[in-house]
Amino acid sequence: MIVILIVCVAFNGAFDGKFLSGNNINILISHAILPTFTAWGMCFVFACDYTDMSIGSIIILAANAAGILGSTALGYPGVILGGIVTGMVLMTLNFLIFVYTKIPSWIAGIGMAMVYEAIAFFYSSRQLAKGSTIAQLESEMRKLAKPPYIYIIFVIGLILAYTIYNRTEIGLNIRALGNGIRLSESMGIKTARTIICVGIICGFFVGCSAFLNESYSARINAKTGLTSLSMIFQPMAAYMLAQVLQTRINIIIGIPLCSLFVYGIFNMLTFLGIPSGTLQEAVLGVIVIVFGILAQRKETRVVK
Amino acid sequence: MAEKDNILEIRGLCKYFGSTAANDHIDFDLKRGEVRGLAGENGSGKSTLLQQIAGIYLKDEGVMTLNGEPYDPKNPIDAIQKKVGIVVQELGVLNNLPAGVNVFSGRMKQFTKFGVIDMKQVYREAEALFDKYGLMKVPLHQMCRQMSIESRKMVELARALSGDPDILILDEVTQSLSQNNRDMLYHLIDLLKKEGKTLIIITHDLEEMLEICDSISVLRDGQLITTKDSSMLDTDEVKRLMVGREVSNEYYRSDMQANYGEEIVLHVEDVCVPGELEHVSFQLHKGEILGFCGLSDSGIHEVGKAVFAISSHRKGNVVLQAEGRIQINSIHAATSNGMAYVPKDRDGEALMMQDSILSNFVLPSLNELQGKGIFLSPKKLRELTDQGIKDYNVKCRGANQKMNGLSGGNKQKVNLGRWLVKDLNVLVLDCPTRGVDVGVKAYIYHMMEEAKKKGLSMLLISDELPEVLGMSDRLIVMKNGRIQGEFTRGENFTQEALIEVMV
Repeated sequence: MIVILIVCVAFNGAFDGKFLSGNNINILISHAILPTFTAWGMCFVFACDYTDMSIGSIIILAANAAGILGSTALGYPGVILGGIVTGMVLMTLNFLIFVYTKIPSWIAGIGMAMVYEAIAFFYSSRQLAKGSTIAQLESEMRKLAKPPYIYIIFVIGLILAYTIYNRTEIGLNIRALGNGIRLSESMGIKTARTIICVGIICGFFVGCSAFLNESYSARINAKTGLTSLSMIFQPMAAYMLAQVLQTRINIIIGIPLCSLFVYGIFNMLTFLGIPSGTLQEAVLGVIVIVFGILAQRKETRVVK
Repeated sequence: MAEKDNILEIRGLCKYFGSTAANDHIDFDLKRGEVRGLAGENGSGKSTLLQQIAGIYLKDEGVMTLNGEPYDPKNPIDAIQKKVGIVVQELGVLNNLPAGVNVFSGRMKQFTKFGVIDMKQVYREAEALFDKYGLMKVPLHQMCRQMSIESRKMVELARALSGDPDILILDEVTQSLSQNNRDMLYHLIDLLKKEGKTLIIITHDLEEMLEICDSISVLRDGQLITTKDSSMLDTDEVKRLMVGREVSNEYYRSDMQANYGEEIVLHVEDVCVPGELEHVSFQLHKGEILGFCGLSDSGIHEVGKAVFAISSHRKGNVVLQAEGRIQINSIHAATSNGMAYVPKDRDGEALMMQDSILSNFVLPSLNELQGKGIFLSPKKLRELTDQGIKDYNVKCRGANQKMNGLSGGNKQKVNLGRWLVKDLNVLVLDCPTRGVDVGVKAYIYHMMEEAKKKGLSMLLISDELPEVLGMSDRLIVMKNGRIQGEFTRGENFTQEALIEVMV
């Protein structure tokens, strides 16, 4: 942590105080909050040893639902409800499929991603055929992704995620599932119900991420050919880094910190003139690997 | 009509796995305040019976009555609520949750207010439980995956006791414990008995069973053969009832003198592992069985890991004297120079439980089976496995059967056999008879003796003193990660002498 602070101060000095300026920090934090919600959702999915590759495509659909309802008389409640309800419904549907079809979740998740991408594409094409565009939030309806509202939403999300993950029976049961279905059942955990709860909880955070993304970008375009998968790379990087640090920091708290760290790196690279996109993401990949190696070194031996 | 003294009555209990009847019309009565032993070979249906009583398995047929009331637990929590607790044979903890949470896992409602769990209260209650029953202290905030097998067993025991059970089931618990914690468990059993609690105990140590149990029920092939007072039985009689024929009384080595070659095959020089081992040095001779024993935390299990280069941050030298002096600094160096390691945690560290017997058996021999090309011959893999199944008498449905469908003893035969078919120099055995019955135990000792005759050198690490005394040429006693004493077969080679050095 001290090293990071020293690097930030040095970098700030090298760029005439622009890096640690209030405006830049504001941008950094706002940027980091968007993937944080997705990463919190993924945290519950990974904790029970499942993988869902359709989260990116759900964000697209939920963001569009937020955009559609936000453009009606419902206003901000419509934005919030549109994102959250769509996220929860689709994620719950996914987990119902995982539980009852017994298809490995990563395979079923890819299948569902294709379906959700197709729905978004169908909606987008239909709008185009009507001579219209996909749902777009007007600028006066985009305050949720701006300070101070985004900070308020973040704090509420942090309290909820932390409490559910660490301090509720369902949170502990979800983590117990990571040890295998049979063992969890032998502990008296109702596994099917718990897995479906994972869908509901993850859907809530994914839905939050969706309406924040919609509020930030005004519109989220449909993606095809499984390109929606790329939307989960940055949250996944934040999750993985937080996992590395979880012996020291609770993973729910670690996720926003790691997300901020990732965006800090991107921001520094932009200052250095490295173009955003592939090259910056390659650096992100290297950072994830370095953290992975450090985590291995820190792996504790059997403790008596 | 239930007998007044009986806390549990079972009539016609059946449990089927496919076409196999694991329990076949079992009638079983248990008196209040009784300590009942359950004996039987691996696969005789003991664990299945107990897991139905504890709600882990649902019965297929039959009736159970608890305290005169119909009893049909839907899951372990249901059983705990009806005051029936169990510590299962294989490790039953949630590795990615803290020990304190494990103790009350599935029953967190008692600590929940407005949907939020008071974690401080959870840890406080867990600590109080450990204090109340005098259990070995474990770090309650630590994830169970970071704990030793023994500590994890303590968590399971605390979990079973947390429901204040009227019936406590202990399925092969002592086999995971070192001598001091076994003593603690015996004390706990006495305490519970005085409180009027009823216990059902499975242990493959028949002397221990006769010592601590009031009566013993014997199962064979899924059927209850008999129930007798312990005072009417001896170990030979129990063995006879278990297998249905006379069993040789002596399954340890019969020679009472150390017997090995002068040639040294392994030098362990000043090995240190931070927090685990301090300046451990010894030599292993050709054809020697070198035993290691000690109390919990003595470091005996860490010796095996250090020799096989599994321990991280190991200092000092481990040198194999094969074709020249070979430094063993990695697992690859060990395996490629004729060393093998059989860990204590068989299911977790040694075997691929979801894979077939064939996959498990051929794994250490893939290099030899590969030949000149890059392809493995399915025929050779099959031949090696079939031969192994035959040679090591593995009771199974064939080479393609999954490992998790085998009994503990048969899993261990695969685990050991796959190494013994290779031309080894050194074999490290960490608790090789953990969780196996007397028949398999005798078989494993026989396999060890045969391997010794062929010149194989072995490190035998064990929590069971009779085992190390019965099989070793030399014995090293450890305490707090250091070598505390050394004994040679035939010279003051007694349990009393060892315990004096251990404590």
